[in-house]
Amino acid sequence: MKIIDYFNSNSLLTIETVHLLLRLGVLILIGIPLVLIMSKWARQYFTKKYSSQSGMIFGKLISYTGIVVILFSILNEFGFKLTHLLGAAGIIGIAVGFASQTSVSNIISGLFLITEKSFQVDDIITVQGITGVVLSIDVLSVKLRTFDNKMVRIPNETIIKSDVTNVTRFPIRRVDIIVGVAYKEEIAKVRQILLEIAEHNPLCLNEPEPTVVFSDFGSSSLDLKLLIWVEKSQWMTLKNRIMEEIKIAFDREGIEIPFPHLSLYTGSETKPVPVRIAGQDQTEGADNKS
Amino acid sequence: MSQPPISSTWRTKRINIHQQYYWVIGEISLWVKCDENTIRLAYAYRSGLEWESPENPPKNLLWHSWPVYHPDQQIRITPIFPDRPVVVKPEVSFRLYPHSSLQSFVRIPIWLQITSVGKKENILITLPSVVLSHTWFGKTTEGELCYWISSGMRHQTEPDPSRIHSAICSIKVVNESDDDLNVEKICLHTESLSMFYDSVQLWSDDIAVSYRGTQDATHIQSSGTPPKESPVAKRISTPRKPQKKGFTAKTFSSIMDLPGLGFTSITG
Repeated sequence: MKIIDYFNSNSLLTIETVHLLLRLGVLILIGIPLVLIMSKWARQYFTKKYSSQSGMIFGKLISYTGIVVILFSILNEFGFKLTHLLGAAGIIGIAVGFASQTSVSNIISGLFLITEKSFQVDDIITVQGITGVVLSIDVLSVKLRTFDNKMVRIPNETIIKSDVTNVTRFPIRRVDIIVGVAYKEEIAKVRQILLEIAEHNPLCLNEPEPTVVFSDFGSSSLDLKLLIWVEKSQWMTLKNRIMEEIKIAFDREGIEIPFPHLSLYTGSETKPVPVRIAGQDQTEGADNKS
Repeated sequence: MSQPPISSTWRTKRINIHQQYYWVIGEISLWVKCDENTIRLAYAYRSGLEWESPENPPKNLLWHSWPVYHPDQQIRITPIFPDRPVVVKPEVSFRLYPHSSLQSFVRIPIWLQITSVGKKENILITLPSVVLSHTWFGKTTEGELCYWISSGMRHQTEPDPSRIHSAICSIKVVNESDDDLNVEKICLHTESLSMFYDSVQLWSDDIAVSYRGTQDATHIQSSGTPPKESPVAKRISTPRKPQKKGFTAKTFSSIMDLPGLGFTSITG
């Protein structure tokens, strides 16, 4: 019995059915992997040529477009016409629209985020107290990787409505270090020491110039603020090193960094009020450690 | 152990097995030794201090090693320019009137490119002879990271064989515009310069920086030939980044706002 006769006699497995299955097989088994490969290639190519942000956008564009085309092709194979689908979509769309307001809002917010470019993939941002590296700006949400390696998903709508701080937008950043010294210290000497520390640290930029600002007459100390600039990738390294260098320099120069303390006086002309702890013989001074 | 004389610093040197070699160039001290299978190198920076015994490097040195492919192993130290632009200030800020020019010189600490020469040449490591501090040339929102040269620009210079770790750049600043040009600092893209050596001093090729006004970018031209001050100098290294003959860049800066608070504007 010839193969054609077999198919003609079999009402379930006709030649047309076999052709349909073959076309579906090509679409699913070849088409989908092909779309994924092209999407991956596009992501790598545009990331290398332009930026991670561009790579992500083009990769997603190709994968979403390819999947939609394959889906419509499959539906077309089963006899669903595109025009009929568009007609039905109008009625379904209204129903779905009411049900998916949040999702649609997230999608539209995502488009605004991408076009506004307030941040991009690989930037470090802070949103609602969460700081992390942007892994991707997706259709519904932005994904961050925190510095302790957690993944945080933030809906796009939340980001559009919140204050977003892009920590790495500009190439250089300022490190602000508040240093408190005892009231007895000379401000000019402390200022000179701080500026010398900044000058000798190779990571600290010569320009913009380091600056020392007399910040405040604190309750326990004179507060000075050292303002130094650094290339953004070295911010943490410089901050750590400068803090240590300040401590070492102050110890070497005999500059006191006071801990918070409180002195009680009955008046400016009198001595501190003596404090005696019951059960102890010696009288202690009036300075209480808080 | 041997310390090569100054004039032979840049020559290829044979490294004998199990023998340690020592160089001092600028602020960096280099130790190199070789066995049957590896070349090992260590380095340390001095801050005006001499090692008490050059034969015995400090114990906490980190040694870098590479496999050796040829028994007749040699090492070559080649001077090159830094891998980033450098910013230099004139000793005294000066003003150029329209259509005038001024010749200046600046000493730039070199970097050392250490190459293994055997069956084939392999660059082992590139190190600065002097640790330079960083600076930013531009606005806080855009610009470029540069090295800061503290020695300054001068109107005259003298070759100094004891300063083998620095190369003299001859810069001619030309004001081609119709406005006065206040020069307070200059950003030099040394990665595009060749280096020349006349057995006494390292030199760059001649640089001409032409200011064409605030609407046009500054034009920079490097000659590619030995400088006028030492026409017999021979090329000892090529540019790190070969560039087209003459290029435009933001080169000049006049500080218009208070320094230290992060706001610098570029006028040229």
